[in-house]
Amino acid sequence: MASPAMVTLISSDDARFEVTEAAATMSQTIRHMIEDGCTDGGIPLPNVPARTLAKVLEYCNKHAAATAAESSAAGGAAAGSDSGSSSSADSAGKDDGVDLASFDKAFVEVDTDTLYDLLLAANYLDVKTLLDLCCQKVADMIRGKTPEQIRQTFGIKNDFSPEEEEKIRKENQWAFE
Amino acid sequence: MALDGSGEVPARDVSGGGDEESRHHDRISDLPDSLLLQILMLLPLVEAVRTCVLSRRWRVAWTRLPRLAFDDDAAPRVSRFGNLVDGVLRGYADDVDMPDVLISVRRLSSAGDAVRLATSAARLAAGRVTARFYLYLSYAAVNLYNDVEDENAAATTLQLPCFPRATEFALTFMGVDLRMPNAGTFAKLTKMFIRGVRFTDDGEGISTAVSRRCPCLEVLLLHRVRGVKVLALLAQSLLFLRVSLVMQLQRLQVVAGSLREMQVHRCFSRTTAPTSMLLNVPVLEELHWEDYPYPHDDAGNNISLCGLPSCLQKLVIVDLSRFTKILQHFHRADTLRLEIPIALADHAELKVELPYHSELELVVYTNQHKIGPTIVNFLKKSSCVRKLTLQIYHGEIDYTPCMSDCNCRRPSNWRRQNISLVSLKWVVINGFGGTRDEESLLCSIMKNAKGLSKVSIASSVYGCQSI
Repeated sequence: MASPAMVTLISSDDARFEVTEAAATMSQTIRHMIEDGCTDGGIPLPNVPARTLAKVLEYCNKHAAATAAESSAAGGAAAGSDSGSSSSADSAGKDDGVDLASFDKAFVEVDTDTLYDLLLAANYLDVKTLLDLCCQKVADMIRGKTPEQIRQTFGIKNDFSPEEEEKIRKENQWAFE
Repeated sequence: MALDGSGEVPARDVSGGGDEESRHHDRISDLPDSLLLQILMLLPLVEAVRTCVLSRRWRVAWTRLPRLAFDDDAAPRVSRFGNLVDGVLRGYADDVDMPDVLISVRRLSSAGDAVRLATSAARLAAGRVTARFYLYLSYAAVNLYNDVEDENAAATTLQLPCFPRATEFALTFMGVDLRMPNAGTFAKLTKMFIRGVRFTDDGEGISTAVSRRCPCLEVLLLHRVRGVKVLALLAQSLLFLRVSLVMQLQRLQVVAGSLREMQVHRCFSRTTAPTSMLLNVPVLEELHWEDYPYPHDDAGNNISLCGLPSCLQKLVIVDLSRFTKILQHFHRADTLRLEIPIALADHAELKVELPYHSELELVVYTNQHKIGPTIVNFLKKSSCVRKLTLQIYHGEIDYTPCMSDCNCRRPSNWRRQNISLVSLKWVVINGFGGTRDEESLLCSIMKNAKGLSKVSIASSVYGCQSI
């Protein structure tokens, strides 16, 4: 089997990362740059520092590998017609799904700063599934909390005076009663 | 706002970040609006709205949510769901179009509250919604047919405003007296779904609204609707029409030059009045028919089908015994799906000619009878079939005892009969129970179909096996 095509990514602080094209093109931004032929000497990503890029690439490598395994399993199941091989491919696929879900869950168990960095990087690089994952994590951290708890979780400074806050609550009373 | 800065990652991240100071820096508030909205979208609407008290940055963030999904079942609850709907629709930002507005009421609600909520939500959203407006009041939450406490007729009327910019409109509201708007145009509307409502104008309002006020309507679905005696649709843009349990329907008139698929499900059978149907649908491809006029009229002379194509891609007829006449209007249906009862008194379905077809799907309910003879009788009319799908249900609904002239006994020599199945390549049997009757049928098919290349048999017990 031929070795997979590689691309070089350059972070904002000039660190170089060599990754498979399959992993890199999970980013639509990078996909477009490759399609436009802007790959000579590496692809500069001036908005993403090395620390964040490394983390994003960990995610992309994992998911790209899972996708590749899934499609080869599907190909194998189609080629083998007896029921034995197809059922084993089925269970392998299921394990991958569970594995990926637990990887995703652990992946966003990070401090809020890292989470924002990932959010911004996923947004800039246009990695939709990673962006969704990070947004979901933030939403889960907001869900079910009182305003004061939310402020504490995220370090949000309350810049309302007590009177102002009271006024806003009154205006939007239908959401609080 | 605040797209400035969003593209740049602050310098501390380059050096590793995570120091004590940055941990307390409010970076979530620095996120661009688009990301903040994406996060708020993942919360129940009421929780998203409650973020307005966090700080100035959050004050109006929610007022630009690209989807307003109200669900009275989502925690945390508010005491007055109607006030929440009202407050959100009133508080939504003035300078942006209102996108999807989806309102779902599942908790028990009084008739007055439900009608007030629906009226107010429709009025506030009507001019502003640019995508979908769905208002769903579950049958369990509110059913005005059962509601006897409120005798004030005005409280059960929903006067619908016009939604000039919405693309989809769906309303489910059991027993509400729905009045269609008598002015304005649903200029962008492509889909309309109406369920559970009651009309008090014999159907004139809905007929006129669809025919004159919905210039680009493509999908129309009416389900469990009362008070429509005449449904007269003149709709050139319509592609899909389903009328299901339109009680008291006496006359169905459809003139639709683009209609591709039409489904009629138990409308005429619900009335005792004389019924009639006029269809002018020249490019129809699929017809699903599960209905019969009452009184049962074998001659079918109250049906006028002009401008109906003689060839369809798919024809589905449910309960064939009661409505065979429709079959004779078609010369060809590439896929023919018939649901047939096995035990019959008059064997009407055995007398009909089937239109030419290349795929035949038969759905049979055995009711403790033998299916072999009936299926073989159908296959005799089906000499060009290439694929046969047989769905067998072994239930015991409407059990009819087996009489001496029962279909499952005649002809008794069916196993030895030769049937011409020269084109048959593929047989699929679902619900195969392994009875002697079924095995004989399978043998008979395999004996007669010389060109058979694939047989798939599935039952709940043995799984799927291909030969």
